[in-house]
Amino acid sequence: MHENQLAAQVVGEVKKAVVGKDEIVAKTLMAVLARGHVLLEDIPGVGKTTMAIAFSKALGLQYNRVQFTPDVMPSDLTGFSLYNKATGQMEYQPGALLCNLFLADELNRATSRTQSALLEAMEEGRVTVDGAVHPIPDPFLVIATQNPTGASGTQMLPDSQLDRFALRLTMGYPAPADEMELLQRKMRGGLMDTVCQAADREQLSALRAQVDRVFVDDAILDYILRLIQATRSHPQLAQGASPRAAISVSALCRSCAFLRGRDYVIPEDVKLVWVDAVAHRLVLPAGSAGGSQRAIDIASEVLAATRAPRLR
Amino acid sequence: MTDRDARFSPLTVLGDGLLLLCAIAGFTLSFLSLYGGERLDEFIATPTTALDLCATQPGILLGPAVLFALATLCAWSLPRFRWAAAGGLAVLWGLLLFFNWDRTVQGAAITVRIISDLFTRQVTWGRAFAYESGLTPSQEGAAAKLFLMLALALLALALGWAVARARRWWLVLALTLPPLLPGLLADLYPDWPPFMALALCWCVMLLTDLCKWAAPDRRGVLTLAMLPCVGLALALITFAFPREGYTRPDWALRAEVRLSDTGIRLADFFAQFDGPFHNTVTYVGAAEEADLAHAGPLNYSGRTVLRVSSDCPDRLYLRGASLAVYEEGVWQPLPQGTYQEYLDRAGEDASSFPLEFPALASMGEDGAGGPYTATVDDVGTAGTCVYTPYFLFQAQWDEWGMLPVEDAYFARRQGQRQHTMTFMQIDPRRGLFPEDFAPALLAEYRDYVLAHYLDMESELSQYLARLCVDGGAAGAARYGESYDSIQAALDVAALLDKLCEYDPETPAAPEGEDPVLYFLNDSRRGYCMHFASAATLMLRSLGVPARYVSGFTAVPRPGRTVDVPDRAAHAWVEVWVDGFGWYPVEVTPPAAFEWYQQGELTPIALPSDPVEESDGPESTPTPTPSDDPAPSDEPSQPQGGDGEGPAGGLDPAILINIAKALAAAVGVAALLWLGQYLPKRVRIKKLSAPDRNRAALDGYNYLLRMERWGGRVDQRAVELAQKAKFSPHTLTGEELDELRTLVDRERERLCIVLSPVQRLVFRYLWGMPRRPEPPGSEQPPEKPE
Amino acid sequence: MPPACVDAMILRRILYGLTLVGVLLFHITNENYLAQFLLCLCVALPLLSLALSLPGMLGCRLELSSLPPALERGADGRWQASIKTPNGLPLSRLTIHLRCKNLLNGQRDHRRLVLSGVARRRPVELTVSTDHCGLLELRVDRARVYDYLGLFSLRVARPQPARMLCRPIPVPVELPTLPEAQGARPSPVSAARSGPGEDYELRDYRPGDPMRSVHWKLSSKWDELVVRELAETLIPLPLLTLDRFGESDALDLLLDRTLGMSRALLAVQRPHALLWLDKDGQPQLRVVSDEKQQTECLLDLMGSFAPPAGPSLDDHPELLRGPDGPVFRIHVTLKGGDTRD
Repeated sequence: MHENQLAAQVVGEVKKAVVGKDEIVAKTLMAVLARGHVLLEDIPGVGKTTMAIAFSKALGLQYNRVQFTPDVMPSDLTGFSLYNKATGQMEYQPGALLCNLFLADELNRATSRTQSALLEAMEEGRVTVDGAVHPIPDPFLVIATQNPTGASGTQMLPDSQLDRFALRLTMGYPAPADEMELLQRKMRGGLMDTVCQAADREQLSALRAQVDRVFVDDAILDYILRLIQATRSHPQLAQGASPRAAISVSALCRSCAFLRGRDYVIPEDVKLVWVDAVAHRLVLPAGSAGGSQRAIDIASEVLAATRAPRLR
Repeated sequence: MTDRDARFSPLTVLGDGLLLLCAIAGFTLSFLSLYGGERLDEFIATPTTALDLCATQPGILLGPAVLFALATLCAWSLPRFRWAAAGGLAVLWGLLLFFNWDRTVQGAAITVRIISDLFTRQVTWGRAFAYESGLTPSQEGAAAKLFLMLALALLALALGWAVARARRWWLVLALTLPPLLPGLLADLYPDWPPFMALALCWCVMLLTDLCKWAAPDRRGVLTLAMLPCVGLALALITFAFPREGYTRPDWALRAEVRLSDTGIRLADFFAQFDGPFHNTVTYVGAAEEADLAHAGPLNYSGRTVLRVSSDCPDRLYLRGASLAVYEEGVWQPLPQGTYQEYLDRAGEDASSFPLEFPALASMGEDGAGGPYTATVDDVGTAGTCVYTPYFLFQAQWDEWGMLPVEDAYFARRQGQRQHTMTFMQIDPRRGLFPEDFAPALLAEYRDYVLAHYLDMESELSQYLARLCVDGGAAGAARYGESYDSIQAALDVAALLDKLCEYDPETPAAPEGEDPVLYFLNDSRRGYCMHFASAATLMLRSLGVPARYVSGFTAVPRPGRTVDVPDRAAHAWVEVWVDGFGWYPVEVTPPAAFEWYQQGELTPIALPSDPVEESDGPESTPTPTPSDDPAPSDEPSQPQGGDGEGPAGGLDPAILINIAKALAAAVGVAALLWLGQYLPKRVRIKKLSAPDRNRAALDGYNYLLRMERWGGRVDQRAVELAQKAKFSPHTLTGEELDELRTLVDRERERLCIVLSPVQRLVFRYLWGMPRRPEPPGSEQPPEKPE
Repeated sequence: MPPACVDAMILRRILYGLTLVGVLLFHITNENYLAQFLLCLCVALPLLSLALSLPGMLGCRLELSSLPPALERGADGRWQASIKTPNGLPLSRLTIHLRCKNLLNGQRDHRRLVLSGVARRRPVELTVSTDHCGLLELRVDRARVYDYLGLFSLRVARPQPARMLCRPIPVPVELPTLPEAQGARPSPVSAARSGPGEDYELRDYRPGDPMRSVHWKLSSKWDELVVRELAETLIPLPLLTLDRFGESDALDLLLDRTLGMSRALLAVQRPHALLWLDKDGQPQLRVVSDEKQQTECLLDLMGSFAPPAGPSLDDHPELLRGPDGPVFRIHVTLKGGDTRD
């Protein structure tokens, strides 16, 4: 399967820069192929940004990065109109969003207003400035990072914002051996320089088209829906997963199956993506302790308690 | 295969030859001594049969048989062209048959006739085979010889194949045992040495069975080494347990009693669970018939059939069922619906059961003895009637758990085998009905009795009446007064005693003869069945209403329970006494008692003194007390299903038990086989289903089932199953084959790894044989993916 | 050989039991002599059978051997099981449970052998699965011999296990440049040897050096203390290291490469050493200087279990020591020899 090899090449290139995070890399690629956005939640300095850049290089994407602070304005992202005296017209000055891969660093330090500016871009793939609609080039992918909740100077992302992300991933510290490797490589030279472009945009589109052709059996869809339903009726949740979550999970399953060399989805694919795709969308009742870890636990619990379609 | 084909070795041929000789010579001589020979004379003075002729000159048969056996041995032992050589022998045999066809067929018929004649005399289940060849005895002998010679030659050919070629001991057994089996079962004995030679062949073949495909010379050595050893063992057994003076050991007798008791108890135990309404009263069964025509020598095991306890000190006649119609040697009940006529006519008055009349009649009289109580525990009778003493008193059928069936017998409630009854001893001369007792009812029943209990063939009636008159028994035959009918019965009994002899070994009457006439005129010996039948018919011919009753006799010991063995089965006569009812009379001579007593396991204590003396010196075998030492005689085997209990050499209850056990064993075996076969079929079918995805999923599920036994589910199998289930594709034939291979391999592995017990269960209950299964025959065309 | 198995023996016992019960019932319910005779026969036959077969059952011996004792992976090999019987009579039936184990990757294979009418001297041959290399071992788990009726059985003494070395197929490898070819390390004072045949190394004096080792002559010349030491062997010993774990296929490949490398080194007359970690993480070092040592080394290398995953020598640099002196490490991986000093 040629396309699959291509995907493997992309992963290989990214892994040159990101050491020992194979699963995270693969999952991010899954989200990319599923046209989803990724939220990386972790402490600073574990390679979130490195990975985003590596992806942009490996996929040959145009890449913009914004470091969010409380004084980043929505217009910084969407762009703004400027009066051109020469032509006498308002000219649109593209903002940071107008790119293929948008890295939103420390997203939760921005004000709510700025965060909300992202919503349209993430969902519709376009920005509206002064009533004029400007399409964002395809493919468009947001990789946002956020510091763990409660870190100084942060505020919670709103539910609607969180729901837009297909996956929330946690990188974690690298293993000691990997860290050693990382240091060694770093000493040999700039990590990022070794990353080569493995695919271009057309190939990425072709890959996505391939993913769209992956077959999902009714039994699998039923399984996903039962899982989603279980979150909604879960007693310890204030709010379960949205229909968007279901859509997102099924899309992720497809790309997961595709990356594992199949053109059909099996229950294992669902299990693989479930927690990362759903945990951040679960709303815990106010005042419950545990935060995101608790949500992850509940998602795993639901997964374990729901019977996968049997091979009969 | 090489071992199997390279089987020529002189040692092997020698061993096989000896085995074959043992088999063929042993069989020939056993057969002749079994069905021919002088032992026929013990029973009947027939002219020596053709088989006897053969038996006296066995060499005439033995020589050709051995020759043919040797020829077949040579043929089958040839290194090649075996089938051609054997075929040649077969053709030779066919030619012999072809040119002697008529004679051989005659010989076959003669042989069959001789053997079946033997059987009709020997056992009850034998059936006569009528054949008239129209030849002189010596010619018949020659024909039979010819037939036997040809049959033996064919047997030798088959035996040669079974011994030298197939080497299956059960084949040899199947070829030689069936012709001997009927004789052995009929208690005939073959000459022992030839029979032992045959057994030697069977045993050696059995012992070398596991080594039958060993290297040829080794096998020959083994056979030759085994022959003397096994021969010695057989001889030792014969000498250690000689046939002469053999009696069945006591433990076997006791075990049989215990077995049958257990069987009955078990049957009852299960009977109480019958149906959802087992607490409602159900009465089962009906008296059927007593077959006098085929009643052979008496044969009893001595096991207990009833347990009786009573406070009455006298001999009890435990009445089973009475039979009314005599037809061609068989006693039968009245046709269905006959009794209904009486009920209809009697109307409301018919609330009393005719068997109650004597008790009703004696109401208020002092002459009656009792009342007594009796508890009868039916532990082993086959029928469904209750055995009741004479005469039941203040009967409460429901409470006692029995139901009167017409005027013939009491049926017992299903599942209940123990009945406690009260009864009285009543003398009919004292206990006549009070004048005011339901005269209409009595009159109706009397009409009914006169209409049906005098019925018999007029020819027979005339003949018997003349016999009675000639014998002086008709003196009192004036029907109408109670005293007279009893006296008539006693006279007839005395006449019978004079005419005939009591003999429990009486063989069955020849086919076509009326058994009663044969008994009275020709054989003049018989036992209770014959006496009771003859007396009943003679009484009827004199105009006395009478009927045939079967049951048991027992002498209870107050305060103790007495075991009544099957030997105590008996038959007697009931005569009608006007104004009283049915009254039992003993008609079997006292000689019966001696036979009855021998070999009795738990002898019934006899009354020290006849309690009641009656008018005639010959005694009125009055209800309970009888004057004869022990009028306890025996009915004989084919009493049909009427509660007569034991019949034939094997008691029906045991037969039924054995049959049930056999059926259960066969059922279990069949289940085991089905348990292996059906799932296997289903699996093969499933795994080769036209829908390959379905087949793959089924195969995967078999793997899952095996996982419970410690099987491993290969990752590849999981992948294939997932593909079959979740993908839009259809698996290719190769992929399905791969999965099948995985299933087969895992099954084979499990069969080896599991412990033997687990393996047995795994194989037979889960139907996972070790051998690989053929893949599905037809592969469906590839579906476009 | 007819298809037969131990279950047939169980069946025989069940059948015998049923027959005995049947004959007993027959005896109980039938009063004829024949019934008693049958019962006697039924009881006597197994005893007779036991008596006849006991000498053979007690005296039978099993032997296992391998043919050939060593072979290359994928070649045809056979196990041989020979049965010795004490007398000329054949044994009725033998069931032998065999377990063939590859000591290297731990793969097991159970087999059951059912032999009936055994009297021949010709041994029974079994195929060997030589798909993967390793030291193969054939053991008898249990063996039973039956009497002629198949009712009684005795255990047969277990023979010595047979072993067969399934060698890797050496792949031709390109030897890395060995230090020898680079030439000896240049010594600044090689010209100043004090005697023929002795290699010295000179270095600066470090406190604590014995006075006798000071090269006074040079020291006076150079105006600083110089110490003379016997030079260590200049040619480092090639040390083949391998991470001996992985799936069977990977192991095969790895061993192929290792053997290829070892052969190539022997071909250029270079003694060398092999170093690996066994399954407990203990370093195992074997010096190979000729074919015989190589075979012994292979036996050690393949005679113990190699788990699918285990510690890598890379993680334990402190273990990378040769028998003595300096080493030139050649790390054998699936892809090739990775030269590391």
